Amino acid sequence: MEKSYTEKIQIHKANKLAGLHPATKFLVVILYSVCTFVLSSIKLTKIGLPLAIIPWFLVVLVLCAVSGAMKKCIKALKAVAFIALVIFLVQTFIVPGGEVLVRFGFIRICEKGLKTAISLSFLILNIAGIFVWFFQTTENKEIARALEESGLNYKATYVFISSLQMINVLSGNSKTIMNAQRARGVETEGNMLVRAKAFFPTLVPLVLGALIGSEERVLTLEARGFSMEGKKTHLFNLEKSGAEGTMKITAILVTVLIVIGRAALWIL
Amino acid sequence: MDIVMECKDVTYSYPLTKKPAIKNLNLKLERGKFYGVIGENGSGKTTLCALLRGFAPSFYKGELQGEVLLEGKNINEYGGEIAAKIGFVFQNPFTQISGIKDTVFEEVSYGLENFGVPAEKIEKRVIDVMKMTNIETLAEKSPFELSGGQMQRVALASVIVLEPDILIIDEPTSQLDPEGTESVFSIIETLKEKKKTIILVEHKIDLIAEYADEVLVFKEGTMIAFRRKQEILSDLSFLEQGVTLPQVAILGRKLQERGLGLSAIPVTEKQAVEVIAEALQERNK
Amino acid sequence: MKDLILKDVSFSYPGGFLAIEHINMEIKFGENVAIVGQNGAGKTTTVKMMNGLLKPDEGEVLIGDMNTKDYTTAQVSRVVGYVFQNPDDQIFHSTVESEVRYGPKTMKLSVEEEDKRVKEALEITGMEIYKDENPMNLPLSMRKFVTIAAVIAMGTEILIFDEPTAGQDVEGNKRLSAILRTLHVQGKTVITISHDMEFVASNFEKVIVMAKRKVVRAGTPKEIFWDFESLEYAMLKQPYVSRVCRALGIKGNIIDIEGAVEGIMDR
Repeated sequence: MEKSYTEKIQIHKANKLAGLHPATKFLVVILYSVCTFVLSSIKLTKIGLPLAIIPWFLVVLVLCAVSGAMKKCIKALKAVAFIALVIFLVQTFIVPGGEVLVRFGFIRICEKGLKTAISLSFLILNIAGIFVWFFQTTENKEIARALEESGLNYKATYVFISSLQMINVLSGNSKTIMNAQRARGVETEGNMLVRAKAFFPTLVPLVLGALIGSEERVLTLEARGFSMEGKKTHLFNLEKSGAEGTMKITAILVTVLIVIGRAALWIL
Repeated sequence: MDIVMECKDVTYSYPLTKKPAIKNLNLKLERGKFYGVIGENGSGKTTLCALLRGFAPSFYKGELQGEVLLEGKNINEYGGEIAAKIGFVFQNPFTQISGIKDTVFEEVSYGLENFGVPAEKIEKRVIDVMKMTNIETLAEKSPFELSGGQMQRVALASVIVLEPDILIIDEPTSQLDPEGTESVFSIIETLKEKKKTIILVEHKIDLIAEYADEVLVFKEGTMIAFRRKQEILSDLSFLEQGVTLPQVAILGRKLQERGLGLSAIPVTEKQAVEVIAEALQERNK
Repeated sequence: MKDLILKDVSFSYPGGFLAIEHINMEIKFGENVAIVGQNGAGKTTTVKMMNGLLKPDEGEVLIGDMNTKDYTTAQVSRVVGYVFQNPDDQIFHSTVESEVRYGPKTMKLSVEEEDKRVKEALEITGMEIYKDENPMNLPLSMRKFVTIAAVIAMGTEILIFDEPTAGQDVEGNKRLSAILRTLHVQGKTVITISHDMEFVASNFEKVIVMAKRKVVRAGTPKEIFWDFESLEYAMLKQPYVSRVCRALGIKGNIIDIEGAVEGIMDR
């Protein structure tokens, strides 16, 4: 039997983790972030380094792997990892404060620097990482539907989703604009200074274009009955993978354990 | 006369402008007729579309004097459901995709979803409209990956599916190539056959000559003429008002000036061939 | 006084999409040429070869004796100006005058020369009265003339216009005709992409037809618009008066109203 279009647009995921309802996944994201902050307050070793958040990052990697999205996640994480690395190096080698731990010639690693380095870079890695997991295992369509289900105003939902889509569109537009400006003598190939000069002539048309475009798009939406009152039909519906309950309980349990554990350490 | 839309003494200015974009407009539009709107850029054609669709002043703000009526009622008394009464398509194909749907099928369904049409009914209606606008082969493609002409056909489909009786179409083919233009116009032809009320703004005067029943001419915010197509498009004095006439009409007039007795000034290609052949036969007898 | 030559040029976009194959084109300096064809035929890709925005995968593009492969786009843009189809992709100043001035400014000319270029460009395009206006306050069709002026001010000897006729009213087309005439008289080489067959028939000495990634043929408007085989292959139509003359059996390869009047009266 040939599938109807309505059937074709539904999303069926075999992987129970990737197929979790977006609301459940988002709960995981929130709880994970809470745990990250709690863990980062645990001071270990003589100088009180927040080492606990380093192995905690493995949870993100495990989640990505079990969700079957390892490749996609690694790709997205590369950029985050790069930023985290830069921050780590800067904080370690450049920021002064507290006891000097190691010295190679004129390079010093200070207590405060190292603490901040680990704290900042791994905070970023953890939080960005869990969001990467969320966005790589959930399509925009699913997020939109979940937002609607949760009762968020349909206008806000639209703004959110179209912004996500716009990222791709804008990067395409920026290429067109850069080409147009190159043809007028704006050099875009070359060193950093050259590229910096090309920034403004590219940015203004991009932003203006986006603004004009969004004004016209409002008319388009109106022409599709966007502001109709009354219940809307939804052709696309979210499926639960069945593991929602398990996931929620696990996530809450882990969080509670970590919080209690932390409180206990503090008191003792 | 079944008047479906009316403008009574309408004068409208966009916000922060001194000059009105449209002045003293009095207009009665009959159900089922095809109206062509011509005039220079900036003469008020797009403003007319915005007024008739209720976007001015509700969306654009600005000052409105007079009334715009749809089926006897003031247009600002209609809410979002006006989308099922008046379809609206404009020049830029790209800004007419909603931006939140992954496939053409969903894009065309979007309006029906907003109207709360039951899910079982949506699919059939969408398929019918996709067939009519010749986009069924594109149903599973992403709207972002379409050509300009394809996007315009999707935009048309997305409003036609709401089954409005009135369609306002503002320069749909400006940015399209000849093939895209033709594909859009064949849809417009189908709409005409279904006896929809159509208001079409176009610079491609030869296409207006082909399809319109009556023509409205705008200049600097004022409607300077509103008559049957034949009368307007064969009247060379309009050339001085910033509009062009069909090539065949200008040809016809010049032949008349040279002494060739034409029974009428042609406005379409077919008419031209008939009328000139007839006149030549007469002359060469 | 550079001729523009494309020798056996082929190009695929990243991702493998073949856009043009074995294109051979010769445009002599000072020629006024129109390129016509459906979207997807390869017109824009070809034209982007001419200003160095794209470099050929095979074959070469020579501007005089400059091979585009050896120069950056910005360098080639000193010789070949390109007006993009969408003016909003280029405009980023708040007055027409400063937008037009931008090109000459990057060329580091003397102040007198810069002023002269700007004034002349505004005059040729009839935009002097709008010089202090914000381009975004002008209708889209006027913004096209702003970008045209901006490129004219760069003083390149070759100019490319990408669909300047799209969305123009009668006045706009007249203005365009006048601009093309002036540039031709100045000895510039002008290459225009257009979908408006009537406009092409009346404003160009040479027409190049493209279809399915190749050049179909080149010739005068009279030759092209009566070559039914090529027109059909490229999915293009004759101008309206030509169609009428064809149906009436009028000889003489007519492409405009004056010709049609003569042809018909002589029948």
